[in-house]
Amino acid sequence: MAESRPSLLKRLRFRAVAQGLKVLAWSVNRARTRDPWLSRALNRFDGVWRFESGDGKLAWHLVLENGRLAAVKDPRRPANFTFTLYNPSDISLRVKPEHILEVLIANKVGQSGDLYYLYQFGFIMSLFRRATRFGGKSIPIEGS
Amino acid sequence: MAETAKLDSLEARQVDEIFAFKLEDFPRNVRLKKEMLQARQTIALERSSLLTDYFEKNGFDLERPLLRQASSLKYVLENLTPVIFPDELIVGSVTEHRHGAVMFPEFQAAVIWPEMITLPFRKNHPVAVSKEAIEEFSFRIFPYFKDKNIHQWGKTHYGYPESLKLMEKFVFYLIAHPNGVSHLIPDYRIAIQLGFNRIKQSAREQREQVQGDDQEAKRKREFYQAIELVSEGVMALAKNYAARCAELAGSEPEPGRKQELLELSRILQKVPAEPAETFFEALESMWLTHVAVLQENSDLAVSFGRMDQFMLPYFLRDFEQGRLDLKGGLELILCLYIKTNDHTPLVPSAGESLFSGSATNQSITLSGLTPEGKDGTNILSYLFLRALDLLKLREPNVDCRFHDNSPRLWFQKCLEVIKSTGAAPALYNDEAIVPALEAKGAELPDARDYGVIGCVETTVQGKVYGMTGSILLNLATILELAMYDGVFPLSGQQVGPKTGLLKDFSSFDELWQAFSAQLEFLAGMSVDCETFYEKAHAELHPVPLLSAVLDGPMAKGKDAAAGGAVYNSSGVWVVGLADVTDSLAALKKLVFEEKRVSPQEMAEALAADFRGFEKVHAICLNRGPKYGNDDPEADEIAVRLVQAVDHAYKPYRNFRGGPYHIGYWTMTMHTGYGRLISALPNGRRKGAALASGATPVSGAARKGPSAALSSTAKLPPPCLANSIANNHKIPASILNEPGKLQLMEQLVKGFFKKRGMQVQFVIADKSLLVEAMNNPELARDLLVRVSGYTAYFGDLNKDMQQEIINRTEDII
Repeated sequence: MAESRPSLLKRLRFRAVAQGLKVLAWSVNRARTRDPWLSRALNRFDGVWRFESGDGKLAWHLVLENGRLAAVKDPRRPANFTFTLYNPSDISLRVKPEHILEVLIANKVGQSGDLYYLYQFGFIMSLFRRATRFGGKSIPIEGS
Repeated sequence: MAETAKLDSLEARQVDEIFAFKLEDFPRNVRLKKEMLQARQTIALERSSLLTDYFEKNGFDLERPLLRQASSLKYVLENLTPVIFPDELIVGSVTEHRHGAVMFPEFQAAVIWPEMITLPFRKNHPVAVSKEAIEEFSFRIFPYFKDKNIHQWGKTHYGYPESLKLMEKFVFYLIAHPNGVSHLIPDYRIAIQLGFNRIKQSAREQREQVQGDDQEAKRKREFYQAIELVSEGVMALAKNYAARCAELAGSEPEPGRKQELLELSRILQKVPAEPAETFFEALESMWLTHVAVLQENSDLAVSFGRMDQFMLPYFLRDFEQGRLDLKGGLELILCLYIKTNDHTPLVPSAGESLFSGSATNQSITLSGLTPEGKDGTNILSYLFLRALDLLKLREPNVDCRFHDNSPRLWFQKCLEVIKSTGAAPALYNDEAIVPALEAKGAELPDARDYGVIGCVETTVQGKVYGMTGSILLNLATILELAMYDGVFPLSGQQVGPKTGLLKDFSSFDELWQAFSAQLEFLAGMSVDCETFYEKAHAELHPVPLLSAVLDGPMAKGKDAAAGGAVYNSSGVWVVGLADVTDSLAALKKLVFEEKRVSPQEMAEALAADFRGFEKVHAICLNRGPKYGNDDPEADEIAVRLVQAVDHAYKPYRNFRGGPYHIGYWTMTMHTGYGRLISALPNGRRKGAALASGATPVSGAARKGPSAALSSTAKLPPPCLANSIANNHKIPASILNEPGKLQLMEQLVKGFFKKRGMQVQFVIADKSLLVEAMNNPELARDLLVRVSGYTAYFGDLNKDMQQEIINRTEDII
C-alpha cells in the first residue's frame, strides 16, 4: 500500500533532522581542536540523547562515548534524555544553548529523562558555538 | 550617645523625628548603597566548592543523611572566608562577592550550565563568572552532584511518575522543591534569645534522654546530634568573622572605624553563640544566623518575620539606658537592609520570562495585632518603615499589617512611604488574614502572629514549614483543557481526562463539570508530584540548621523536612484568576444564557485567535461581565472559582501531614504563562499576558478603583490562606494633588473594612514608565511592584514592563 502524504512528509522532515544530527556530530568532533574545554568535555562526559518523532516511531540518537560524538540510528538504545519533536521544524541548529529550555517551556518539543544530561548537552553546544565563533559573545577561549 | 529616655508611649513627635532624617544624615549608608548597587552580580563558587570537597573526602553517606548534611554544612561554615567590606556595621556575607549568586548544585544550579560562558554578555541580567568557577562547576561540581540532586535522586529511587512528567511540561503546574526548602520564616528569636551554645546543649541533653534502640530512637539521636554539629558550625562561622574583624582593626588607620571593627569583633565573639543583649547584637545575631541558614537552604524568600516585635525589647533597653538613640538605631537598620541585597537568585534566560527582576524576597513584617490581640505598632515599626523610605531598595520586601484599631498615624505614614518609593510597602489586613489562617488550623494567638513571606504569603512566624511557593498552578490551562476535551491546544497533546468539547456543551453546568474535572485532575497530579519531591527532600536533604531555628523540630526530635515543625502547610499559588473568571462569565452569559454566540462559533473563534471573528471578539470584550466592576455576575464566578480550587486541594494532606493553603499571586508568571495560552472567551488574544495575582484584567475594571476593590473583597478569606497580590496603580501626578493621599487612605480603609485581604501599589505616571522602557538609566533604579515583589523596572522583561504600563490606572 502506498504511504500516505502526511506520513511521507513526516518521514522526510525527520530525515532532515537525522542529517542535521550527523552534521552536528561531525562538526563538534572537528571543533574540539579549537577549544580546550570542548575537548575536555568530550573526553570527560558521556551521554545518549534521543531525538524522536511525535509518535515515537522514528528516532535518532546522539551518542557521546569514548571522546567522540556520533549520530546513530538505533531505536532500541536507552537514552539519558529524550527530545520529542512534535514538529521537526521547531528545532534547528540555530537554537542557542541558552534557549533550549525556552523551547521546552514553550511545549514545542517534548522532553523526558535526566535533566543533568539536558544541561550537559547545552554546555557542550555552548562550547561548540564558541569554538566555531557561531554564537555571539562568550567568555573567550584560554589564550585567545 | 542619647540621653536616657523613655519610649513607653509612642508620641507623634518621635515619629516626626524619625521621618525628619534624610539619607544624607547617614553618609556611611549612602556609600554602602552606592557600592551595593554598582556591584555586579557574580556567581559564587566557594560554598559549592567546599561542599564538594567535603563529600569527595568523606563520601556521600546515604545511610545517615542527617549526619551527612550536618557534617557537610559544619565543614562549609567552618571554612567559608569571612568577607567584610569597608564601612559595614552588619557583617556576614552570603557569598564571597559583594553581590553574589548562591549556587546549589544539590538542587537545580546546573540549569545555568548551558549558558555559563555567555552569562556576562546576555542582554538581560548579565552575571559575572570567573573562568575558575566555570571550570570547577563544569568538570567537578555538577558532575559530582549528577545523581545526588533532589530531582534525579527522586527519579532514581521512586521512579518517574506521570505527575512528574506532566510537571516537566512546565505549563500546567510547577513544584518548587527541586530548588530546595524555601519560602518560610525561621524563628530567629531562638538564635537571638538562646544562642547556639544553648541550642547545642539542649540538643545534647535531649539526645541523652532518648530511650531504646529502635529505628525511631536511632533517628531521634541522629537528629539531635545533627543539631549539635550545625550549632558548632554556626559558632565557628561567627568566630572566624570575629577574628577577621580584629585583624582588620589591627591594620585600620582610622580610629573611628578601628573602634567599630573592635566592637564587631567583640559582638561576634559573643553572638550568635550566646544570647544577644543589645539591639546591635540582636541584629548581628539574626543576620549571621540567616547567612548560615542560606548555606543550607536556597535563598528564595527565607524571611525575617515581625522584626519590630521581637527586636523591640533590645531597642528599648538600649534607648532607655542611653546606649542608642533613634538615629543610631536607624543607622543599624539601614546597614541591615543594604546587607540583605548581597545575594540574588540566578535565573536562566528561559526563566527571565517567568521570574523577571525578582530578588530574593526576604520579607520583614511590621505592626499588626499582637498574639494577645492588641495593637503592636511601636517605635521600631516606624524606624523600619523609614529605612525603606530612605533607601528605596528592592530588598528587603517590607510588608505592613493593619487591623480595625491600627493607629491612623501608622496608616498615613505607610501611604506616604508608598507614595515616596512608588512601590512599597504592601498592605495587609489582619481582619481577613487571621481568620483565613485560623480556618486552616492555626490557633488564634498564632494566627495573629503571622508574618509575610517572599512576595505576599502569610504564615505564622517561626512555627511553620510552609513552602508557600510549593505548587504553582496555571488556572488558564485548566480552562483550556475543559474546552478542548482534555487536550492542551499549544502542543495538541492529550493531557487531562476527556470531558468534552466546548462546541458540544449545551449548558454552563456541563462546562463547569468539565472544568471541575480538569481542576481536580491537575490538583491531584500536582499534589502527587509535590509529595514525590517532599519525600525525596526528607530522605536526601534534611535541614538540621533550619530545624534548629524553627519551633517544633527540637521538641519532636524530628527534622523540619520530615514534618517536625508545629505547622506543616504547603502553599499553592494560582495564576489566571481574573482571565478565567471573565472567560467563564462570558461563556455563561453570552453563550449559554443570552445565546449571542453559539458554542460552535465561540470554539471556532478561539481556535482562530478571533481572526475573522471580529464581531465575536467585540462581544467577548464588551458584553461579558468583568471581574473588577462590583458586578455580581462576574464576582460570583470569581468566588465560585476560588472555592473550587480550595475544595480541590482540601482532600489532600502533604507529605508532612499538613493542609494546602491556596493563594493568588503570580510574580511575573502571568506574562510568562500568558505566552503559552491560546485565545480565551474574555476576548484575550493568544499569547497576551494574563492578569496578575487576584487583580482584575487590565482595562476590564471600568467603574473605578472602589468597584475594583469591592470585587476583590468578595473573595472569601478562608479560601485565600496563601494570600493574594492585589495590584493597583495610581498616577504619581494625581497623588501629588492636595487631598489625594487622604482619598487613597479612604480607599484602602474601605477595602479593609469589607475584609479585603491585601493591596499593593505602583505609584507612577504612565508617561514615566513608557519613557523608562526606552531609557535604561531611568529604569535602573525605578522601583515598581510586580505581582508580589518589588523590582527595579529596568530588570523586568519587556512583556512585564508593558503589563505594568497597561495596568488600569486608579483615578482617585
